[in-house]
Amino acid sequence: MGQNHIFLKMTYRQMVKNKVRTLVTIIGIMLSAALITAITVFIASLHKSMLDYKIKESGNWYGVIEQVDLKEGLEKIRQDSDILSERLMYNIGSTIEEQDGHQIRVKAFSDENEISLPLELTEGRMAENSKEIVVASDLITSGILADCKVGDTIEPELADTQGYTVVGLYEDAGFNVGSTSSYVVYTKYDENTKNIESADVYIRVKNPKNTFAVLKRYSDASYETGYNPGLLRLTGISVYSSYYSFITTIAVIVIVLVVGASVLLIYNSFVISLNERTKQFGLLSSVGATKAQLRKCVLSEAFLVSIAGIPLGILVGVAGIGITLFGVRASMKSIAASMVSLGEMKLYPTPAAIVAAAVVSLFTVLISTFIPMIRISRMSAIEAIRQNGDIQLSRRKVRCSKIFQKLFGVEGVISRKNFKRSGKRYRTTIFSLFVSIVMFVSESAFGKYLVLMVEENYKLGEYDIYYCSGFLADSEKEEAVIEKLKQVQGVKESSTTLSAGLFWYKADENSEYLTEEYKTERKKSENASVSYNDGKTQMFVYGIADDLYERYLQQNGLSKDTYMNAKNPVYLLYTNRRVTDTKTGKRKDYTVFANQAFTLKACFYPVAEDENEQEEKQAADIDFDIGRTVDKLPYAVQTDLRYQNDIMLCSRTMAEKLMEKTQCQQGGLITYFKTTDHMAVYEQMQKILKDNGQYFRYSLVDEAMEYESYRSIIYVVKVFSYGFLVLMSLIAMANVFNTISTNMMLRRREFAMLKSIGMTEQGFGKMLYFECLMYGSKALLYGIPVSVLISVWIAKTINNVQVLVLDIPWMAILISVLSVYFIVFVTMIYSKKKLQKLNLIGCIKEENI
Amino acid sequence: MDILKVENLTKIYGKGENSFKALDNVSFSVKRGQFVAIVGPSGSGKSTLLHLIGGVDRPDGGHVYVDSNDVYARNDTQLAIFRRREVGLIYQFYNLIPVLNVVENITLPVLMDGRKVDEERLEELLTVLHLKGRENHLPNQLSGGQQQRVSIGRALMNDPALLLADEPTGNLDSANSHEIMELLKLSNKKYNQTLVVITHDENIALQADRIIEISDGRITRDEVIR
Repeated sequence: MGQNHIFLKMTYRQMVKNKVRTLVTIIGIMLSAALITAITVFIASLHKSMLDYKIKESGNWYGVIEQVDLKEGLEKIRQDSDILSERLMYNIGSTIEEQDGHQIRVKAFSDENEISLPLELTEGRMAENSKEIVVASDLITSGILADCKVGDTIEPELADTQGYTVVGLYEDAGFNVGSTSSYVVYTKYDENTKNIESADVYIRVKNPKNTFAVLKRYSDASYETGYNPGLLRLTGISVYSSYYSFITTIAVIVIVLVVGASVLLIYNSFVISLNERTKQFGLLSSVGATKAQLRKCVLSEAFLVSIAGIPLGILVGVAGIGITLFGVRASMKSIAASMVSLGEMKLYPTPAAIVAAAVVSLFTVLISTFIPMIRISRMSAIEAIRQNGDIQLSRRKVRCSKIFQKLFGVEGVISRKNFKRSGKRYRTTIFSLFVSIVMFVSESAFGKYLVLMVEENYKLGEYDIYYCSGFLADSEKEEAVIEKLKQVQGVKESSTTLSAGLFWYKADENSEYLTEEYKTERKKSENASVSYNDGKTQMFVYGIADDLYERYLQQNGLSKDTYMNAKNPVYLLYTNRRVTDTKTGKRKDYTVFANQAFTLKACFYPVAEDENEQEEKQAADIDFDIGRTVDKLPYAVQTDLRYQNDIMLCSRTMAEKLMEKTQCQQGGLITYFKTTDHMAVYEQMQKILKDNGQYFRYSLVDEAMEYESYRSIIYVVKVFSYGFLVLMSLIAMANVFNTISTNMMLRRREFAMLKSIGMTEQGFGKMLYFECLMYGSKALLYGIPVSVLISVWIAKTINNVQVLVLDIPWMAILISVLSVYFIVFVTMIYSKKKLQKLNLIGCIKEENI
Repeated sequence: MDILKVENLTKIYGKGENSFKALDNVSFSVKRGQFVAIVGPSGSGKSTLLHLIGGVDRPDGGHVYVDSNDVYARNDTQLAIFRRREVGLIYQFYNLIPVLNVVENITLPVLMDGRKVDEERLEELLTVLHLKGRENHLPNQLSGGQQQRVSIGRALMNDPALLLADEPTGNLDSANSHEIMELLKLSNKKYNQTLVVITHDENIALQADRIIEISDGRITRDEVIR
């Protein structure tokens, strides 16, 4: 048996002897490895998912060399040793139509190979031969190929070329990096393809980093080249691109935190092990073990716990992140719906991620052995044998007042003196607890502010979707479209509001009706009024659908006769404002106008007959009879107008009359929808609008989804961060448990002696509990103030982005207080039970190691 | 021939006002094969002297020569190897590694050297020490006397030049004490090992060839008995 084996054997058996401590250490390493693995695998999965999405979107090619001749040029590319594979997109020398000087080019896909060139079909199928084409749907909607449908035949202009049958429509050709991508139609290359002029050659290179260098060769040879930017960003060229580097930065920070906490635990474990084995090491030294051999003992322990803990931790980490991703996938979907660059996020535990996690975990364990190794180097055999270093106490005087003694008895005095003298020993324990407390409370504060921020910004109104019809000439067609939208399955309720144009009022002209608060706020800042225009304030007039308006009046106890009288129109006024004082963080709600009946002096700008008139517009005066102000609005009013804009309410009929009077042509219809499933309804509405040839991106808004996606982001962040926190806290708890329980065991002679001179079990218990109280309290004494400070700092930082009220996370503080005392007490109870089992005399007599 | 030569050996503990001279310029020599008993009151410096001879602690002054080699001219690693091969230390409290069995405890110095165990020597020791049949026992499965015998076995395994024992019978009853001393004397006579024993027991001291008395860190008596 070699010298290494005996030390390994000794260490192994020692670890088995101290099952609990060994297990706690292994669990700590496992947790640490699990956390690190979760992070690395998450990053790998995120990267791969983004990559998958990018490839799905624009293909897996790296570069393109355009208009290559099919003889020499193509041969040169095929001979290029840097190019892994290529796929051709033939440029057919025929045009379909020339309109306004635009050429509609025809390109032909070559046979499928490993290079993907995705085409997003909206209807029909891909062309399967040279007689079939797919057409960009934009060509139809823009009118260039108006009325073109699937099944139609298109005759090209040139006499010697064939007609094409349209077999499909496409939305987007992600691989086409050229301009005016919509003016391309795609067919399929076969033996009948005529008039091939050249080919665009899409390439994959052996080393993505060489893409630009390879392409430059061809651009130097006067070819037009292009590259796949999204893919290259994600693949090696710049792995740390901007939207990716943010996440990796966070990951690195988190890993450093995890490594830090783990090192604390594992280091502590080794130190404890070392303390227990000091005499043993002394003996080994006296028998002839060199310091190098003793250091090997520590390394053996490190090796053994790593073998046990790291692989298990990696498995747990992969499983954990997999389950977490599965659990949040609904939320991720809604985030993905609003963030374009990520499709579905799948779990990808790549070898690189696993290896990275293993290496970092091992590194963590090895760092933890650093200080114990130094201690061994400094240890002399004689000190170890005498075990002088073991219970090192400071020599300073520790006074205990008589009152203290009276209150807590001699047990309390002993506890206090022990506590005050053995500072160093418990430093790491208290520090672990401190770090956990700070992290937990800060995280709770952060989470709380995140939620507040979202709620401030994205208060969901009572509707899910709205559709703006805008200023359209053909209102009949528009009403038909609106009707179709209202019929969509899943729409619970809907209402169309008529925006009757923009009006302005001067605060000075109506000053007797203004509230004092408004006057004060206006003095404070110019921003109190919205849309200042020569001292005028903007105002919207909304004509709510008659039936909804009637209901609204009824709900608010207002007379229909008064407020729905088209002949003598009386309006309702909403002027609620909300400001937040940047200094105090206090939110203030006020109204501009006091609640009363009055005549509002306003004006509007009539539309000039000639749109191109640049002259100074003359405002036309108009008076509005206001019946009263209101605080609540019907649901069919934009959410983001509330608290910021002045709104006058009336019925649809009244609004139409107003528009007649002002000759306003700037009114628009906005239809609000309440749904049972906003995502499904939105999808269907998109289809309807598309069929009507409408560009809907800004006119159809799923507000519920925006709100949901932000809530989802918070939910996901919370899940991950709390998961992380819980694991980190477990590591800290393991640390506390290890330290306190072992140190109790090391002091067993002292305890035995106390018992032998007459301390009762009760008294003994009291002494231990006092000590634990003090450790917990010290950690909390530092931890709570620091975490409160950090919470304030977080609030201030967020306040720079958006003003929020300061809100201390009291619940989190309470939880950490309870948790700290809980773990310390549990440890004490465990230690006490263990100590009670020991033979009294045996301990006192004990000189044995 | 002098196997051991101690020259002006000094050891000071503590610093400044609190310093204490445990050994004060101690000098003596021991011939090969001699059995020396070191006696003296508690705190006189006996254990300190033994540890310094055994290379366990470093002196503040003076030299220790074992087999004409200056013990403390060695660095830490060389000193460890010295302790392993040239000295056998036996303590009052058996100081066995609790997780190693009898054979492993005895062969520990050999295993540390990375050498192969001399099975014949091991067998011989197990027989002489009456430990046959207990090879796989752990220390907590042995009596006090048996544990001390294992300790002696470990000290003898590498056939060291010097055998140093600090109150080897201090923790044993009279029967066991007698047995242990017989074993040590056997080793002394049979293997011509130089034996230095610290003892409080006058009976044991009188069994030695020579008695050195230490008091307050100084040799007060050095008497050759036989």
